[in-house]
Amino acid sequence: MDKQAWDNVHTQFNSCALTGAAAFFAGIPDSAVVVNGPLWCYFYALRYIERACPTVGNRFYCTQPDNNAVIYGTEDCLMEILEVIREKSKPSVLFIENSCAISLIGDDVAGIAKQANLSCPVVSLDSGGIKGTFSEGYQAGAKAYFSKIPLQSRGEARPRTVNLLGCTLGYYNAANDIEEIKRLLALAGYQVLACPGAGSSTEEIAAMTKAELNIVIHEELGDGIAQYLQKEYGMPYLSLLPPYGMEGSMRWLRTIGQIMWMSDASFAPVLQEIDDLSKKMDGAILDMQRIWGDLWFDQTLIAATSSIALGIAEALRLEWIDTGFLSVILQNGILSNAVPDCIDRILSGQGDSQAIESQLAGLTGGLLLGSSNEKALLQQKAVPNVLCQNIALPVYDEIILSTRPFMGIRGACHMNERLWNQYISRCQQGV
Amino acid sequence: MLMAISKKNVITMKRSYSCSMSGVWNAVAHNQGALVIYHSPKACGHVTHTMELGSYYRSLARQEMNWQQYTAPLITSNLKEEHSIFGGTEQLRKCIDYVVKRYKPEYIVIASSCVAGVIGDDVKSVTTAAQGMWNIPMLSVDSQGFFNDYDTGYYQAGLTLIERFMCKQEKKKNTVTLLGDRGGPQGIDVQEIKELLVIFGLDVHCQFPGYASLEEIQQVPSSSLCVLLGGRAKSHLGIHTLAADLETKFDIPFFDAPCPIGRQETKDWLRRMGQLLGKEKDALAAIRQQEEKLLHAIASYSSKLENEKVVLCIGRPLLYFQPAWALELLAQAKVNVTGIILLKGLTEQQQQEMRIELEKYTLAPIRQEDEDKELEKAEIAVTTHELSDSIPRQFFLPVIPPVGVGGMIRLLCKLARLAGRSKERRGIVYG
Repeated sequence: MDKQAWDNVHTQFNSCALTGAAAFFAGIPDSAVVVNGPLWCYFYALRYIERACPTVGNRFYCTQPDNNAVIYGTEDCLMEILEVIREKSKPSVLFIENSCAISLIGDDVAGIAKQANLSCPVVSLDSGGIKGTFSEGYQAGAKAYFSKIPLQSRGEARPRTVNLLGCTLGYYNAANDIEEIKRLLALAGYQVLACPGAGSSTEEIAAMTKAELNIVIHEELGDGIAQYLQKEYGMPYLSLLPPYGMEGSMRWLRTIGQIMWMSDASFAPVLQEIDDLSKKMDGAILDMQRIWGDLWFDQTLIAATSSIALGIAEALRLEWIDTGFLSVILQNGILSNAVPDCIDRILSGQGDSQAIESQLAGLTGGLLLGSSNEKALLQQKAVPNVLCQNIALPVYDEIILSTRPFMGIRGACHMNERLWNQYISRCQQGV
Repeated sequence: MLMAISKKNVITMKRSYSCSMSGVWNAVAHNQGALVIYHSPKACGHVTHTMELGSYYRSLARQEMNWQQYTAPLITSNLKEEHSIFGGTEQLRKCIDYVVKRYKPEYIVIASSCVAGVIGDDVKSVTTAAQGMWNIPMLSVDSQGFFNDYDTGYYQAGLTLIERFMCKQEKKKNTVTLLGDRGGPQGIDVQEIKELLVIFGLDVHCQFPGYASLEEIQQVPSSSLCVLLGGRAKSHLGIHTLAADLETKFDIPFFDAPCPIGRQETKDWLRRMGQLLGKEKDALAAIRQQEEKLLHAIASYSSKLENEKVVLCIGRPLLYFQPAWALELLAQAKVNVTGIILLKGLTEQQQQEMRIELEKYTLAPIRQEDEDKELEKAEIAVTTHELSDSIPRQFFLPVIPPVGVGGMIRLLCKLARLAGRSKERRGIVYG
């Protein structure tokens, strides 16, 4: 029996492999990206990425093949763009990715690039939507990079150094989250050598082999890369849910500490900060609690990519709110990683559209942590009184300009602040 | 030293930047009972959904939302790599069988992607066979992703609906079918056109091809007139073809004029409509009324705008931007246009075409971006592209100019707000 299901796209949110692969390279500031495909696909990827990297358009190119190119090949239009890059751009690494249709015509992109005599290495890949979603594209792009560009030999690792894998600015509020993770690690005595795909240059990436440990932040993006680096360079790795909540952040640090033989004393500055902030937060929350009551929701729904959804679900139920029933939608589909016990129901954002629609329809008076997509579905279904917070893209109804992460200790304060303020605002509206 | 003034890399558009599938989608997205299948990878559906979600929030922001509006399920057949070898027609057949059972649509519209085009899938045959099996109207639109463009997909879908669902009807006096989109029936542009039609005692039966139920589509041939809502250039050609097809098949005359933009076009539009209907006096009265409306607005904004030094910056080719309406807007605003700058993204040929067009309407000096000195003296840049932050206050010209005198008044209002903004603040206002 054929078990395929064809779901309504409106209940889902994802992006294509072309965007994912481009996002990895866009996260390397001295790289340039060429989309060997139509402007439509190019603009989609560009708009997605430039929300987080506003200047990426200056190193993001498109070959614009016409119908003839699909028959006779894309060599001419590709060479034209490569000329421009050779003259004007001079990146440290160039990434050429074929869109869906172009990937089917079998052009030897690497061979064409060789003719262009560029001074930098060229990484090429078929990475259109036919190859999968954002995470699949990101991983394929990263693997292509590491396969093509050798890192320094491992040698002796520098003590207390780590790399962050599976990070991307293509996730909501990611820049703030990455900064907070780096800050937390620094507070605990670690130095982050590289964060490939999220800000590190080619030079920093080349030297990442000197780190003691690779830490995977988003497993749907980083696990494959971590395995590759372990196999090729003997670098150990640790893949955990991202650090959300005060306790969650501390657990995350302790797990890393155990692997790296860190003494408890190294956590003292972190514990001190948690203690200071907890006192401040608890006092403020108790004040509000006396007036506005408990932060209680009969139903809570979280919708985000798997690592974020599961990490936030854990912090939400163990630290931030009380809820009767907690459901989680994994926007990128069900994955194999361990699901925290505190979650009552898991749904696949890529296959459970009927269940998702009924879950949203039953969310009256509840809490939604998701994207503007789920919020629009709630509005269209006229589900009343749902407290909504954005934790995932797409976001059309909020801006975050200050340094306010969702992850880490500061993230815990920020999330509590958002939840309580929205809850109070809802109470004031007489709901 | 002369600097690049475009904030973003202005892409030289060598060919269409759109995808025909999104045109097919928009043609029927809000037609009660419709279901759309993209014979494509899943990612193509995500791209369209992102576009749809953006429109949803724009409508929400402008309070143009029709909460009762139907949105068709959008399904992708989920073409994957293996289908490029074995073909994707079997996948499409299974997809159709599934969606017929699950969504029970009144009719299905199928759009083909560029991937299906490269593979060479015979979508028409699959559609015909499935229709015979399920006894539901199924329409295959000849599109193939980026091999065609948005307009082709949109109007091809319209022609397919005409072919399939319409037959001759007895005419109903004074009923009009609007052809085109313009944000749908709740959109401010369509409201503006309806107001103009009311002057002549005309009643809008429905909007076609989008925003119409199957019953309304079947009743289109009973309209006594079709009025075009399309834009300019290629978009106008498409809508003209649609109107001509309805005239040939069902003897519905159409008012052969594009949507009126600004003062002069609205005057001409009203005068010609009056002639067509034999209601010249009504037309003259309407022209007077529109003139008064505009003069009243000019009187209230002119003190803020008069003699402001303005530079017009153009980065869109003539095919997508006809400058007449923008120059008329600036003339109405009584600003001092000190120069026109053609941005770098335009090819030499596109610049030449634009120069010839501009010289029909203005004596202002026309320069290339590199030769520019005018911006330094300008107080306001009226522009088709977001410019560097060092440029003074910027007024962004909309890609689709708003309809009628009402549209021009809204732009004048925004321009006046920008003129009232402190020069130190700089920044952009979107028209």
